[in-house]
Amino acid sequence: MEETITGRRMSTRAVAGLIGGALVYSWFAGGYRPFTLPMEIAVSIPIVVALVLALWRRAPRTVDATPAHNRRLGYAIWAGLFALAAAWELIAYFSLPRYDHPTLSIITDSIMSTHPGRALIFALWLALGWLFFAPAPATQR
Amino acid sequence: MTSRTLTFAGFALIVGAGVVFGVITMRSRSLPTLGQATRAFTRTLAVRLVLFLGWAWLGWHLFVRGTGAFK
Repeated sequence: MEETITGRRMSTRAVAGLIGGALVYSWFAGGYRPFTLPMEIAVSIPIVVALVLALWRRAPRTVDATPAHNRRLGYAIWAGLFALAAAWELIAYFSLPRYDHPTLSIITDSIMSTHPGRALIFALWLALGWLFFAPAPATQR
Repeated sequence: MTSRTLTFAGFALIVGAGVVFGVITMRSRSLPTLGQATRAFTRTLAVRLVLFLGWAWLGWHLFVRGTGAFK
């Protein structure tokens, strides 16, 4: 699909280290309380890293071998799924009572009522940031 | 089925569909994965900055300001 000419693919060990490090970091961050300096620092570090990645990321020189029709279809399906999730969230948000129509905030609140739950949501937040701002890997498809 | 169950089921269905489609794209190699779609979407700096603001706000809102989760 996308053959990158430049760049190097991350090794399995590097990927495992990155994921492990993110999980450990999330576990410690999940143990801090809101409105405290440690929590502010724990959230600020990934934000600064993401900002640097967002500003400095360069588009890889790629040869896209995917047929344009498939590419458009895939993009449309992904966009459709996100639009569906946003629409479902809005329907829940504008429906009452809240107990009968829980929004994502309510769902995450219940998950985040425990330390492992907070660590999980923190890890998912980091993963989302990686998805948005990580440098493009050198892939050969 | 109650409204509450229906709401949960809707979210679960959407997430499940995303997971299934993600697996399909990784196996078929003829459709863009979520990572490739995201990279195409975030090609311009303006989009990345808007996404960054939203993502940073989300983290700050969830963990620093705290929501009902920390009660």
